[in-house]
Amino acid sequence: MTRRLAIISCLLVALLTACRGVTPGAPPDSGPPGLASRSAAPASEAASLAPSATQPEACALGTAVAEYAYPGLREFVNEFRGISRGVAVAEVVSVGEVQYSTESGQRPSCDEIQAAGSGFSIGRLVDVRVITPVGGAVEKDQVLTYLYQGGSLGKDSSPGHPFGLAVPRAGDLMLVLISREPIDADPGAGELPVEVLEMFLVTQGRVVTPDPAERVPVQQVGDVLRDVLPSASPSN
Amino acid sequence: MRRLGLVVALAGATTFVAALPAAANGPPPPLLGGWSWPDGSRPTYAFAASMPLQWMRNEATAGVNASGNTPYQNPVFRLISSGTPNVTVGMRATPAPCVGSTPTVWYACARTRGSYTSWSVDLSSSYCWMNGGAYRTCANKATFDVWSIVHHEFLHVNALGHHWPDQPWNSVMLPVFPAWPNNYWQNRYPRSHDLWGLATLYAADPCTTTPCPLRTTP
Repeated sequence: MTRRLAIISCLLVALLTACRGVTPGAPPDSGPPGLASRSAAPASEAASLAPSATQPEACALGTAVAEYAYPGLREFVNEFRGISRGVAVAEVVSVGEVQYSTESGQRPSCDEIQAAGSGFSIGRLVDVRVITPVGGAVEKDQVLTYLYQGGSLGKDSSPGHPFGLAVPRAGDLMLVLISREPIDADPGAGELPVEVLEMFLVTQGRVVTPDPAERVPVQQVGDVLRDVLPSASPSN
Repeated sequence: MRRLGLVVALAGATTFVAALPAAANGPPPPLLGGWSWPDGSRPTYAFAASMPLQWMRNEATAGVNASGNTPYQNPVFRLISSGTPNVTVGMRATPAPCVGSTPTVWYACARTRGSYTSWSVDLSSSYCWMNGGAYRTCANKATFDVWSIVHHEFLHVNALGHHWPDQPWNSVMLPVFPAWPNNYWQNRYPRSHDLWGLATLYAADPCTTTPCPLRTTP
């Protein structure tokens, strides 16, 4: 496996170094159109940064995009130790409509958007009820809220769920990672408290994580997470 | 911790296989936010104090330049040491918010700061970073190539979104960017689909780097 990876990496490096310029390794069967004209003047140092015709309105929601690593369930939960209070298996009890991350669900004002940068997002509020506490300070039947991010409203859009979790449905079982304190998902004047930091679908008795080779039986989650659960590490 | 990186690559590869489009070449990367930098822009960037290592700054600079030196009029960002930059490049510990206000464990994040001409690009100090050679920030976690990731982030700043191309070597905008030392961990220049995406936003640029043209119209 390692050898194969190394070979492929070498091939990639060879492709990168074999082609000068800015398009190393680009195969000839696909590519951008519009390279015929090369007569434009060099870019001006003093060019204005005023919005161009291609810019949306000044009150645009903004955008943010992130890349995520998933090192494994145990390591993932461990990454949150400083801000989480527990892990539980919970049932989805309701899934809201697509809304802005504001208390009212309505679009924030332009002033709020300007002040918050990319702090606002679009998503759905998902309520879950704890079925089985796995560890930490979690009680059965607690109802907790999660902001499932992703979606579009008008010209605004937010990237989808980091790990591609499908929109939850009522009755779904989830493994939920719970925040130590409620997080205000509304960066404006309102309050939109959410308690669930992240969730993974539980199906056929196993936890579906981004690693397809990792399907931890839900009955074994406590053992897998034993030394990284918040209550087990008070010094952290 | 080798498993850490392998899992990232495996997850990416698996998702990729599932996402293979029916068409041979597929679409270019989706655009981010429906905007583009104005023609002739020369926006600026600067390093935050949170990224003090000079070798990291050098690698990041190379990544920024690679995103700008294309056959299109997407901006070539200029490094400044004083004044207010359009883009600030720094590091933050995760979990921290990137998209919205909920903290999560991203390793790289690009986000606007109230307008599309003002951005923060952050690398997570909770992961390890390297220059492809001897320089590393740590060795006990997933390790990413500074040049490649900053290059990727600045293509976001140039308004390209994430993209699953027909073949992984056709784009550096894969949402799951592999950690070293797996396949495609070092993707330091725009690839064919990335240029295709830029071509939908920006006019052709005078070629200053041979060979010209760099690509031919399919």
